[in-house]
Amino acid sequence: MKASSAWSVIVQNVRRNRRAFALSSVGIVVGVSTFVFFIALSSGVKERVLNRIYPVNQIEVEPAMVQVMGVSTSVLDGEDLGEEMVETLRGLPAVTAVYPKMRSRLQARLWGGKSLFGHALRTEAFFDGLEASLLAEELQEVEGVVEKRARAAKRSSRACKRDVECPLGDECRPDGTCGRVEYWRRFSEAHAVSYCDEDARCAVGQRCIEGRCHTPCVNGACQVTGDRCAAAPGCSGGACPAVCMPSCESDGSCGDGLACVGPAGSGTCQPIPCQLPRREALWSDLPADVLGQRTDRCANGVEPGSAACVPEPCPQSTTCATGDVTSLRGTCEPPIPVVLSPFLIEVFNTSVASALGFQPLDGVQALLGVRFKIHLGASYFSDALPKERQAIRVGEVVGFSSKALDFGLTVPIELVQSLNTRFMGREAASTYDTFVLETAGNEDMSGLIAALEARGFELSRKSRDARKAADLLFILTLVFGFISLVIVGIAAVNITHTFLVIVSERRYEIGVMRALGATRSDIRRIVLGEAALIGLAGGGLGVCIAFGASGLANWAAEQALTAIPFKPDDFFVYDPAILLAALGFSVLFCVLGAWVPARRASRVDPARVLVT
Amino acid sequence: MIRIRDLHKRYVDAEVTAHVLRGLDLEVQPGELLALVGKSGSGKSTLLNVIGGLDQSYEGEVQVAGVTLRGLDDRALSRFRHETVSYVFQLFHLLPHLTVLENVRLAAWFDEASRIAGPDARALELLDRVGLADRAGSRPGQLSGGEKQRVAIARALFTRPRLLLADEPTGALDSEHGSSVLNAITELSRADGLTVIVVTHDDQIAARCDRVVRISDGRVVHPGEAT
Repeated sequence: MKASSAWSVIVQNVRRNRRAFALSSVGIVVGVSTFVFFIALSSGVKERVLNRIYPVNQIEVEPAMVQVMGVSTSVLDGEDLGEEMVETLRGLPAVTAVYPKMRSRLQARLWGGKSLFGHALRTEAFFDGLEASLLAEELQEVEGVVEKRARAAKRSSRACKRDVECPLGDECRPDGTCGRVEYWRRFSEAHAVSYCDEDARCAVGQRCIEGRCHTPCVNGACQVTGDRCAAAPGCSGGACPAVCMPSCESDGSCGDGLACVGPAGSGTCQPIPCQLPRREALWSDLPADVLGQRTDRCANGVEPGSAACVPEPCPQSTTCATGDVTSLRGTCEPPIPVVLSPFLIEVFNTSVASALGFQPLDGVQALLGVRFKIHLGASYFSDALPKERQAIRVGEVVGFSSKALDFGLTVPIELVQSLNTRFMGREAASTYDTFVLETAGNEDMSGLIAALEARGFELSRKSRDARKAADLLFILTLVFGFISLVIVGIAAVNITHTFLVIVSERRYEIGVMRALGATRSDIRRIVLGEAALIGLAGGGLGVCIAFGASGLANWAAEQALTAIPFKPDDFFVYDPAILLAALGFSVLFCVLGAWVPARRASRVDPARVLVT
Repeated sequence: MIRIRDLHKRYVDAEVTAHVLRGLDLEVQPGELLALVGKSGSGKSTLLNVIGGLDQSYEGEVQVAGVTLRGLDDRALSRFRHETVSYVFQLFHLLPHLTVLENVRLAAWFDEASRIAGPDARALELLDRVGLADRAGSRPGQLSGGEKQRVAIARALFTRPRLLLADEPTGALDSEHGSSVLNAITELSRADGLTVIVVTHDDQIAARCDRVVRISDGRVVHPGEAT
């Protein structure tokens, strides 16, 4: 029997028995939709929720702790946990990248949020330093969601030449239109100005020159390619050491808070000096009060210091950062870019807001770009450092990440190193606290964990939780997969029953076909083909229902989980291989269900059924 | 065309064994129109099944159109049924969900060698020959008994068989329809040079055949003579 003939017989038979087949394939539809729905949900949760905390190919490890006479001690106490350890870990088999983490070792407190809540919130501040590359993708993705929502709200794309011409929260983009500020870049491109009173307060290789840490020129050359040697600020002639500064053509080619100083076309990027008008500005609740005025030039072009000088504020997005709380002079600096944990927002919305009578925050967009003040070297809980070693800085929320510190601020690791060195000395910035290790795939992870444990490391709490959650998710997926298979299996029994009835009804028809030249295998193929078609149709419908159900679930999540930042727009990930497998299972179970009836049909004796 | 030697057929059912054909011998010439008569249970239909390749469990030698049926596998036997032999049954056995045209061309589904060029045209031609071309789109349920049997004859001739086996083709029809069906069988078979074996109880039908063979107790008791 030709395939085309078989196909037309199969379609004809399915069509005339559609009611019976529709009823018997209900189980297949339910089973397949359950299977696809839960596998897609499990994949989605794993990829879009769990993977955010720690991707399957990343783990965070920290030195293992042991109890010695009731005191916790690190197994690696006394070992170098600095760059040398990073290199050692990088050399482990299967490791493709190592991202060290450093905690702040100085006290700090913060306040802010007056514009958001009506009055300022005050709290102790803890820092974690992370490499920007570990967060960049996530920050960018989340900001992409914000951008999408902004577009959905039909924001006007106003033409502009400068940032001030754009609405609040927007900036003037290179294409001459206002667009949302790309906050994630502020984390990636942050550079820290380190204040100091001695070389020991600067990072290794730097010197304290005029109250700021600088990399000095060595034999007239800089260690950083493309930088130039320049006289230290405030020096003249050859009396001061020359320092490494980025070279520039104009102010625009320098970063935020830097100006191009020197001959046109061959200057160096240098901090912009500034001054606060009054001391109260440091302690006010509003970060805008420390905007400060430049002292290197006037807005009307006259010489600074003259009576006719119209003060020019620090450039857009920077504020005047003073060396310490006793001084009013400093440099224009961009705010410290801060990433928060979505968990923090969740806690705020569920507990803090109701306790303090605040409005719950409506997701990420409510906090992006919010600024606050950070008082470094002071604490609500312990003694502060001497006033000349305290400083006030402005922080700015530039994103959210599940990898961020749950209760605290996550900032670029270079900044934490700089602050630890400045406030606590070089020793405080010489060791990392934890390490995030990345492998090419999840399959390498077990061996790597064993190797790390042998070296005295253990998984961090978050990593342990993530792996536990992944294991739980795997078990749940197995359970739901099994339930789906049971449903499809029961459906296959139903299919068997239906086909047995149908084969019995068609025995004369089968006899006629046999008399006209159909082989036993032709009859078998027809019955199994009908079963396969039912499986395909039932499986296809099941997949469609799963898609519909997932859309409904996403919509319900959108309605019910509005207060949780970072929830994915779509909790489901549909792997084409899973869809194919679902259809394959559906067809397979239907064919298996029809196997016995097909065999019985092929054995119909035409001599017995046709001749009376 | 047909050569049967010492044919035995037994039906074994639980503890009872029925010896239906007991050493039957028969020869049929090509183009012959043969009537097979005998009492009910004498083995006429059983013999037809054996000749048509529908029943393989027998003893003896059966040769049809030069093919020895014993030992053929299912595929070869199906091919034999498709290409060499055709059936007309007493109860027509048309498929009710198909149209008359589709019923006639039913065997085209199993035409692996594409022997029948233009199956629809062939089916329409046969329907025209049995006088039912205008009913091609009807369902069997809309036809009279005689019309149904003429459709069954058209279906039987579709594959251009060499042997037509008709098991009481007029048994379910009144005399008028029975006569028209028999006319159709005789005219078409003679026109196509077919060998025909008709099982019947009707002496009038038997009288119109070339030869009448009587079977009793599983043996040919009257080999018949050419009329």
